[in-house]
Amino acid sequence: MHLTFESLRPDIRDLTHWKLVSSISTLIATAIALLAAVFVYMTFWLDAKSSMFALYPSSIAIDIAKILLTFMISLTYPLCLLACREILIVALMTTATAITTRATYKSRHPTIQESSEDDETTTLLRLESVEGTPSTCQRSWLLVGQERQLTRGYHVLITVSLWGVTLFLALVAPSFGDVLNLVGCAMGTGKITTQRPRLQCFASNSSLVLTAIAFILPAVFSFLLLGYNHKAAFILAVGCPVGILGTYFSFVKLVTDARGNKLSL
Amino acid sequence: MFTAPNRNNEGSSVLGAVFNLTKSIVGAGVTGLGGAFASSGGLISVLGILFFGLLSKLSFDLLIELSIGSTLPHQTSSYEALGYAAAGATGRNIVVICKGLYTFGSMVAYMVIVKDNFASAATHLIGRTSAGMNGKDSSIVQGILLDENASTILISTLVILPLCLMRDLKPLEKFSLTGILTILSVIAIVIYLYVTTDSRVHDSGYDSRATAAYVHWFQIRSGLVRR
Repeated sequence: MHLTFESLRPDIRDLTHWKLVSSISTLIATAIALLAAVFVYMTFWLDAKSSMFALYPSSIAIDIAKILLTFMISLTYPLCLLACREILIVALMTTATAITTRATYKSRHPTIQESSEDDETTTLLRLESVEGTPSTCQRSWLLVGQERQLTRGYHVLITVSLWGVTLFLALVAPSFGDVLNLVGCAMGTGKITTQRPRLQCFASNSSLVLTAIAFILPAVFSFLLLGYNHKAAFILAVGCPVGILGTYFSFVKLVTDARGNKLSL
Repeated sequence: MFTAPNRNNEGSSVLGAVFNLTKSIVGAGVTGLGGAFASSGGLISVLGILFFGLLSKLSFDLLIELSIGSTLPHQTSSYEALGYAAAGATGRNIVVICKGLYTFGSMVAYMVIVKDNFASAATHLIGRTSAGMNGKDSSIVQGILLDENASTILISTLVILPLCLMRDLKPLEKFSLTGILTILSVIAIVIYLYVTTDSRVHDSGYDSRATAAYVHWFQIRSGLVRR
């Protein structure tokens, strides 16, 4: 959301124009979702399944649709990877900074006790006033003047590693359910087009992680920053139970199917 | 969500931002919603999609409203910054963990979709055009494409990895509209298949049209919920 908001021209980067953008976008996305769902449902009725392309008989139209879907994913996957890469960089830099600043601070002020409530950022701020800033170590990893761009070697390493791990996990699909269990991520608000029942089970209609990002955290942050308000309470009251229950029942189905179909783990 | 940050006075128009945000919202998962309708019921699923679309819009607006109103130096920098403003390092870390898990899970799922769909489609299309190729060439190509793993590795290495090695998303911004048009093309194919497929094969066994209409649209099925 923030990146899309920041992409607006400065003269229209305000809440009014943002609400217009979000309204139109949500409307278009909802219409697209309904179109896809309703026409598949009206073709197959109760026989409709999540693996949409498996329902239709083989034809040129279906092959073209699959190729188009692959093309779209080829453009979408890099966006996910970039977001994941930036998150990793921020996490690694924060951790590295905390470790080096604590070590540097303790070595320079061995008699001063750190407050038990000190967090990484407070330590960083304290050390900014100390000669020899804590960022010396991380600066060798980052491009000059950039906070989230690694030097070429590290950039390629982290990118290829992320790509390779996700590719490997996708290729060892018989264990996909376990992998998703381990990373704690059930996929979003739709279902994956796959012919593997174990993936169907896990690709539930709701996701605890996605629900947290979309509904729980915004509401909780609103309570913390603004105090109680009806909008945040409504979002939390509806989004939270649906997300948790949906994920729970999907997981129960996954376990049931795993036992019943003797899925390889 | 995935648009590159604007660091100068240039920027998108409302229309450009609409395409970016729509592309961020719409994913490959929409092609699996038909199964959700079959599990849950027609009308209740339609109402569910509409309701959660509205709820998502309220959430989007709330996030930006909170970011604009925050006292951080970079007010609208990121979700992580908002988390830090609200709950300190704990809030930021929770956001980082959730975003990391979600994006990682999405990446794995996208690779699985490529694996499940590209190989079979390319094999069929190559097979249909193999009359123009000599027997040896077509068998080598088909041999690669018949193997899901090999074709997935091939397309992800030749197409996906080079795009991933880019440092920012500016070149991909132009493809937001392309992505939306692509998914609309898929939906157009679905509608075409609806018109040309005889759905009566899947619509039999009911006493009357009224019964069929009730079962298809008004009945609420348990779906994943166990009775």
